[in-house]
Amino acid sequence: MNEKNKLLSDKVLNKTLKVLGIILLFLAVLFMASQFSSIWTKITAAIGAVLVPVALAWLISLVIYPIIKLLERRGVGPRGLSVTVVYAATAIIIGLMFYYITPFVRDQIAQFFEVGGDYDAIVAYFKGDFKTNFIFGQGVYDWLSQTIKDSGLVENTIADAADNLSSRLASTMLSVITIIFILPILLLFYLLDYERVNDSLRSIVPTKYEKGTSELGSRLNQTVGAYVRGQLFLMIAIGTAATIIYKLIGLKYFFVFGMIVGFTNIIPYFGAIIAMIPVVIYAVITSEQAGGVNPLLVVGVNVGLQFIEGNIFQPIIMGRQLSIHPLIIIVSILFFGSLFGTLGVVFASPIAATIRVLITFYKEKKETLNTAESNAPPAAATS
Amino acid sequence: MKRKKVYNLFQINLILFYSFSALLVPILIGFSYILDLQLLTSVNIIVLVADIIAAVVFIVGLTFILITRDHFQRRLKPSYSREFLWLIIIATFGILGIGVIFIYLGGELFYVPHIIIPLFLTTYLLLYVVGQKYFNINLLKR
Repeated sequence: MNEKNKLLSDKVLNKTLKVLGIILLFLAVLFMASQFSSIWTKITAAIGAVLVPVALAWLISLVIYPIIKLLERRGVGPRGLSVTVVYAATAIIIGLMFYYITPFVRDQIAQFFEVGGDYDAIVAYFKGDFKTNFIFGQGVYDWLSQTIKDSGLVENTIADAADNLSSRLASTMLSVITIIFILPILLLFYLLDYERVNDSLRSIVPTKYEKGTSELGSRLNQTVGAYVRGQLFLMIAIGTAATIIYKLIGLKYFFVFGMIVGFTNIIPYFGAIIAMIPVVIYAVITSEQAGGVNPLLVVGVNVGLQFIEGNIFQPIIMGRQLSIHPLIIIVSILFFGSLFGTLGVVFASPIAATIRVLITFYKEKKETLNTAESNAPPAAATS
Repeated sequence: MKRKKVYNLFQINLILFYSFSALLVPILIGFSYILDLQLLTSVNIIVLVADIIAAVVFIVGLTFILITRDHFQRRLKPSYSREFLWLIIIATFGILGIGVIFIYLGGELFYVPHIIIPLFLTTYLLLYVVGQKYFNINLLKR
């Protein structure tokens, strides 16, 4: 059969009709849904309220559960005891961190804002040196600032932001507080009955797909778990290394800037740039002062850290199995960031890893099915 | 065909443990520098405490490694990526700590990069060789 006839065969036409039917039905459902948008907003908000703590509990369990299993293998059991040990250890670590690190951070922030300190120097820089040394000349600076002033852009933006903030702050704070209080309890019950919860979830799936679902679940746990544990490890290692190096090069607020590097490291590619912006701006402005650091040195440190992280740590931690193309990660950060905000940006990579596992699993299953069909005897294949 | 030798987990742990023991003093001194401990007490005491901790860790660690020798000698892995990552982390913080020791010994802050950058380069070259030979990991291959 030639190519033209093949395209017009009943099988292809049948498939095309099916796909078109599904697309039309999907569009019809979307149209109907848009007619009742207020109900859908409420339903989506409710799902979001449930989904965020559950997803967070799952991600944290991927880090904590291996520790619990390790404790149980070492004879720390039953489950209640091992979970208690992990919870107590976590509480002690968090407590100690707050006890020892908070004074550092507080002192450095207080030092930054004190009278005649660096904050004043930065404000003075933007009012004085920045204006006189403006790259396009002082005239352009005056014209630009006058235009911005006349347009009311700054006032409007601040007013809008204040409006948005006041309306959103209450709901955001409420959800954050809810998560803070609910998450440990949710996690506790999930960890206590980890196997039973997973078995119950598996039992919902029809028996025909149970084996596949179980395999997919364990693969998801393995892949996303490796990713989350790896990122957490990198966050601590890079943050600490950055803090030491910043101090070695003589940066005044090494602790705060090092912590920023550590926290933003969770966002691939953009994290390094986000962390670099404040420290480089600070270095540029205060480079002329006594104790100032050469901004090029700061850029060099950040680029070096990023290079080591991207070329040495990431490939070893994530491995080939987990390596996702940078383009996919960037697109997923933009997509999930616009969809879920900051949380979306942070969790874009694990979500991308999850989607990758799902696609790979689907492809493998399809391949296995095709191989089984082609290997089956003709009588069995036709029946 | 020449086959690549696979080292057991005991040998890998031994490499890790010796590197850790050798670099524990600089690592501890590096962390003391973050917390500005040199402002609270003298450098001699910091180094002494770090030495004591390193000695205790060495004795306890070596005993543990020798006790678990049989168990780990039976375990083989095609590549030791997680262990190699620990080695990189140990080496990195160790070298940063050596930079801090240089300052503690009265060196100028300005010359710290002159010490740690060649050390970093040498160590990563060493890690590349060790990674290929013992851990079955190529540092240059993604």
